[in-house]
Amino acid sequence: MPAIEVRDLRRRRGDVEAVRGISFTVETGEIFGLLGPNGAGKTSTIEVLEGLDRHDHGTVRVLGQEMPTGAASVKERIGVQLQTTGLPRYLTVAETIALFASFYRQAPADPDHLIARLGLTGLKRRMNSRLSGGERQRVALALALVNDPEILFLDEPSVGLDPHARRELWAIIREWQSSGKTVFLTTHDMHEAESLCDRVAILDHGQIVAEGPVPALIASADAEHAIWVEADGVALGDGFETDVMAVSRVLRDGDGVLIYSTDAMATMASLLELRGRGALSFASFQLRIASLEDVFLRSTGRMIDS
Amino acid sequence: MSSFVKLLVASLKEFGRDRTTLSFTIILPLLLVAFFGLALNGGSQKLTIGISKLGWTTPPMATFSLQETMLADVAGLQQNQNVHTESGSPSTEMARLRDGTVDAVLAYSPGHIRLYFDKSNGATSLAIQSLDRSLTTGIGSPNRATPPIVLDPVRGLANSRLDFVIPGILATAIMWLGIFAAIPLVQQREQQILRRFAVTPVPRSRVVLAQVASRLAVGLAQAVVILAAARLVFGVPIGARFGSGIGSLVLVAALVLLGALAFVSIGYAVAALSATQSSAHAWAQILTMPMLVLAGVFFPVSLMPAVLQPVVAVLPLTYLADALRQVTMNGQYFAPFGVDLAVLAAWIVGALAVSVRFFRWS
Repeated sequence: MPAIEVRDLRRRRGDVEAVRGISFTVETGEIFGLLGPNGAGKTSTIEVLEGLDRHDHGTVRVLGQEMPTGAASVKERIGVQLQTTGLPRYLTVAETIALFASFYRQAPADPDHLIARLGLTGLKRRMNSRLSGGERQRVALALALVNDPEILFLDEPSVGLDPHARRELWAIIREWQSSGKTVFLTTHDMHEAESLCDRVAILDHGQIVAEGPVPALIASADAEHAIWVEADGVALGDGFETDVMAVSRVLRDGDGVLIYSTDAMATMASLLELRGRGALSFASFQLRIASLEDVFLRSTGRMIDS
Repeated sequence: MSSFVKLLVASLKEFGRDRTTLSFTIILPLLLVAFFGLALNGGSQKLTIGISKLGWTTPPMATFSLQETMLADVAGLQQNQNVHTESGSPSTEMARLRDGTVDAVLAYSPGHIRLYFDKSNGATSLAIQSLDRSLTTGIGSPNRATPPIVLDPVRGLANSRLDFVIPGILATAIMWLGIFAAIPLVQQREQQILRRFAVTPVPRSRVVLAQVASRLAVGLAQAVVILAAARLVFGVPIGARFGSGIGSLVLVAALVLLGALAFVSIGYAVAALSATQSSAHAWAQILTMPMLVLAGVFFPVSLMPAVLQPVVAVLPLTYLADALRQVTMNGQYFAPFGVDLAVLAAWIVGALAVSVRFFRWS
């Protein structure tokens, strides 16, 4: 049985259809990422899965339970970290964890073990209001793991974290997954999706534009090579690429142009040749290693953060 | 059920560790008790009245026609344990009044009685004027067999400004406690803590009930602290109409719970109608400030102009203060006890209806 099954999910927010008929399946034991720019419908989707919100159309099953009717029993078995993490100001870390532990029928065998695992032992008696951003994030994660959940939901887990805290977080999530648990996360960070997720679905304007295991998605984007051409002050005019060899597509972004090529060598050679005889002017170019960014570009025609 | 206890304890801890709320709910009311106690209690609670049987030399403050039976009244005055009397010549007694050793001088002879007192001494002046009233009342009734001068109200009045104010302070403290419950609630919503609770299996009702229960517990603690301070430091009695026994204490506790419930409901209605913490703060101030002045907590509402009386008559604080007074002191009440309870109950129902209708969890 898959951990999560979504069929034709639709959710309206006021006049806008935030989620427009998406379907995907998350298998038990994998880290699944819902990747997309802000406003793509990621939070609307995860809220339905967590039982925080009800959907307008479609079928949603979490741990085999139909949502939202099964929300009460699903909540016993999932752990959630919301996008914004508020902690009660005047409680200590240990008090907060004990409070949340009391909400679940199956209390954790040993909250101290969890506290130690998240590196919070030294902070047990500290007030939540005195924690740093990274520490708050770890407490929030402890709260999400306090019932030893079967699925861990993370909404934009590394927003606002410094690189060190973010790597720490990823390590904890991976370690936790290695015990056979499922992780569902949303992110707009390509790098996070690439380094953490087994499989991603790319969401744009409420629809899934690409889905699959991360290496396979990147490989599909790699069928074409991407060459980034940086302008030298004068914008590259429309149609400049007509004389460049082996160009399949062109995407403009800011001062530069991204050229997709069916033959990278031929394309680069002709770029240099055209520049050499003054037919074309540009500052530099570089061959890009394909990433999820390219998958997103190919699917949507835009950069994710533009 | 253990999650309820945990939520309750957590709520109490958060309350106790937040210095702002703590000072508003416990320290400020205690300061009020201290201020009013020092201002109104003015030293001895016993009236010392010098009695002189001879004539007088200074112009009289009040003159009464003294019937034969009045002599017995004055004898009754001498027996009242809250009035200390002494006898002396008019010149000695007047000198002692001027230097403050006696609070008043009662000079009588068959047919006349004159009462001298120091007008500048506010507390005793009030008491003496009431003594004067009770004497006049006694004289006014034609068929009196035994002198009906009741000295109890005289004693009551000596202490009464404080007796009156203490239940008002307690009611005010409960009002602050309840209405300002809006602030942490809106804060929990703003910081997504309520949403965080919502993704756990704990029912929303349990979260709310635990918070209400913690406020009610703090309300009882306020009552204990305020009434104990008033009693131990200033000798203000608890329980008048219903006696001073354990029954009155139970009744005070029940009223405190009812009042706290009414004001917590109003606080939750404020939270329901406020999008942000600062707007909740503004609403809490807008509601509590006028009540502080208009609800008769520090002086009787009868002193309020007629145009404001309709406003006074709808304020929940008016009824909580009045109900607490009915249990703790003698005197004039604003409304029948049952009406006090009914109005508070109506506020609970109304405020809860607004909260349920408009409250948003995120």
